[in-house]
Amino acid sequence: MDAESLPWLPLEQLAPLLESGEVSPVALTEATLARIQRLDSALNAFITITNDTARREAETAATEIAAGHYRGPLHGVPVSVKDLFATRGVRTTAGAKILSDWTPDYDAAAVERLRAAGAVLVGKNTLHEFALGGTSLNPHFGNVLNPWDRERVPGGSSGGSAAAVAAGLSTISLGSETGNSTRRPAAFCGIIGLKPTYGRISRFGAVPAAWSLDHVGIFARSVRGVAATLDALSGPDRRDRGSASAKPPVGPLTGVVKGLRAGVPEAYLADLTDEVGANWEAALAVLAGLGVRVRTLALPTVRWTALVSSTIMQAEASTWHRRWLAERPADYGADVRERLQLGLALSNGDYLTAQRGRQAIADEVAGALAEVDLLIAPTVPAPAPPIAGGPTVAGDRPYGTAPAFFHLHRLFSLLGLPVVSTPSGFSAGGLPLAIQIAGRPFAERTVLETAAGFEAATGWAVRRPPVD
Amino acid sequence: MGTDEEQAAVRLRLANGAAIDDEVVGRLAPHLVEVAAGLAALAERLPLESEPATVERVDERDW
Repeated sequence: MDAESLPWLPLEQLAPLLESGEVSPVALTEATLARIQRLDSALNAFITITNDTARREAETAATEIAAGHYRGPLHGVPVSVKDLFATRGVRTTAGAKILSDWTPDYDAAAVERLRAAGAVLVGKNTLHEFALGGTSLNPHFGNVLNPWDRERVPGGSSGGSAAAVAAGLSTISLGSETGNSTRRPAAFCGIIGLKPTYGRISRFGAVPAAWSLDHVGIFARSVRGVAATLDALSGPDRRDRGSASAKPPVGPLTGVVKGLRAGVPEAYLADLTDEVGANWEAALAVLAGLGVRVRTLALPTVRWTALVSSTIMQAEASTWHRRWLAERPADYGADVRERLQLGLALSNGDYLTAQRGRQAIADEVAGALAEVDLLIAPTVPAPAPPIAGGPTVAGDRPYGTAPAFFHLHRLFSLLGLPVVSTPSGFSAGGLPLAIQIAGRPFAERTVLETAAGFEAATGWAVRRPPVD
Repeated sequence: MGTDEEQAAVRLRLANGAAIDDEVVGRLAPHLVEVAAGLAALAERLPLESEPATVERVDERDW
């Protein structure tokens, strides 16, 4: 196999080649670094590229594998992480001027686990400042561009992670999600994005956005890629108070989902463009062909999701930022600063009313998930918007209370449910579209089996963006 | 007491002090009013027994 093709291989095809010695981690890493060198100036997916340490890690992996000490499917695989994960000895900015000189002396828990799995860290990905926005337009480190159309946003806040994976600049990337920050960029960039159950992956060492909503997210070009990475990263961690107890691994996927029951929240079908509506109908037909039984669910409390989620997020985020907001307001980008300033003006009563609403929504959704195995919906109601629209996605004001764009994302992050976004086709303009599949807490296997079945039946994720 | 927007402007200035300028206050005040109205409408619809969610581990919730 030629070196240029290696960075495009999905993890489940790459791992056996690395284990057998047919592909060397050194050759794979060099091919990946060469792509980054050649293409990242056109995408800005990376704030920091770790050429030297990546080469050393690749050589170590090669030596270990050759000696028969294969650690598992991430061993020798090039990965990147959103630049809000602390990395020992490597600058960690959170996409913010305020943290532009921070070099941690420790690794985030997720980075520790990547290293323990033998992964090769090729760099730190660009993001929306402090992960507080949905476009990844960044006034401090530059805008991330969508690999499918460089005049459009990649989504955010984990835009660099998604763009890197979509463009073959890393096999796997870690992002985060507080409201939509993994699924939206995955959808806009045409790849798989998994937000696991709240607490399944430790957030220790990740710069927080909002404590009760924050999750670690995973990007890959295949469902099996995110599944294997989830198994490598999952597990309890006393350093994260939201960390869950140990759960069984997802393990190998079959894609067989016949007999599963899926519900579609009725409110999720409003505000779709005609094109997305038609794409959604086609996706439903694919799921029906796989044997998934789909019904519509009323779920009236879901209409409060945007209001409840944005109130909680702004209250928690502005509390964490309070000191810097007072002392260094000019060091924030305008969109993030205003969002946080609004959050500071919320009252205790506002926050607690939102938390009461959150519980009411959780109770209703728990009732629904007793009757269906999955909740499904389009991931985005329209394809990636133009960069010219500014740092806020149209119809998705960061301090808005109307459903709009928020509606399709925030339910699952608000309730901590596992959810995966998987490509479902392309718009007439050649931009990716996607569906999302959610399930009960810690039912990642069911969610990913369904995504794997959908992936096998459609093959949308293997398309490459026009970056070469 | 002033209009809702005037009250919202007072809250924004009190919360942010000198870090917020008048133009931003003018832009954010309507949004704060919108949030307050939305939360008031939500509160009216919640059952009397409704309690806030807590930042507990998901696997300890009663699903």
